Amino acid sequence: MPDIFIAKPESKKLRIEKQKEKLKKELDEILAGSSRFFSAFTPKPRDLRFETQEKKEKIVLLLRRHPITNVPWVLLVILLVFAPFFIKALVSLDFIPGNYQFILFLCWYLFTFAFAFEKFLTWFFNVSILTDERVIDIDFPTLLYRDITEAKIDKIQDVNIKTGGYIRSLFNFGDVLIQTAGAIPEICFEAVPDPQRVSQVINQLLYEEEQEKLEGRVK
Amino acid sequence: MTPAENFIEFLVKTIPNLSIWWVIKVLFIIGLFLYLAFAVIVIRQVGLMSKTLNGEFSILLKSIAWVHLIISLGVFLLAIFIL
Repeated sequence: MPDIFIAKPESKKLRIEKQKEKLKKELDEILAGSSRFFSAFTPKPRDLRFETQEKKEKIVLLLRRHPITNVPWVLLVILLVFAPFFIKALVSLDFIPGNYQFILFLCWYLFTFAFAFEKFLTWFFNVSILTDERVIDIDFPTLLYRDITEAKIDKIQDVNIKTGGYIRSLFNFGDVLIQTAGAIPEICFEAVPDPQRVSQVINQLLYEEEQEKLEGRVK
Repeated sequence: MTPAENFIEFLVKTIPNLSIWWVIKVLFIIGLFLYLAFAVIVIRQVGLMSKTLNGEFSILLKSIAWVHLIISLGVFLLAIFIL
């Protein structure tokens, strides 16, 4: 029987474009509800670059430890700020000359500031980054020492989520463990917010990378 | 007398005349000098961190580190002059 209508076969290029659009849309859906750069879960941060970033590489997700992990040191800083007033109210410091008291007071607040600033810097710059090509974990364990771990998306073999305990369940944060086939067998994103969503993003990126491989457009 | 004996004699004569506050002043100055070195390291640390992750807050954090160094220097000099 003769065909009345034959649909034109979709060109390969058009099909790939459609597939790309679909994946992009899916990823955007997972990352919906974007937040600002100064937060622990930042999808597609603007005006941000990391040292080893390649020209065409795009940051998909920037992660820090959940802000609730800062509560212990913030409370300690508040205590340190008010401590001199309590000490002065409880103990007589008249045996210390006035000029010594003044310098002691200044030193106390210098140390308090240094402690708070160091803690903030550690939180702010210890980040985990997901790009469209790699996963990167940047750590600054001590002064002037940094540890950068990275793996290509296509080297990822398994993604595990570790949550548990009252605080982690209540505030929805946990560890994301990424097993890789690279030189570094495991990359850990510690105490990141919404680990389930992070895992979804990694899986989506992995799927995209597989699609790119199949279509022969691997960078 | 050897130089070492001279030095020991100097210490023996001087130490009884020293007040506890003079010793504390020296400790304060040594401590604040070490803190000054730490403030310099903080500037280098912020520089290294900002180089690793460069965003809109880098300038602000570098400025805070410099202000911290200036204040530390101010307290160090103040300790030398008023103690």
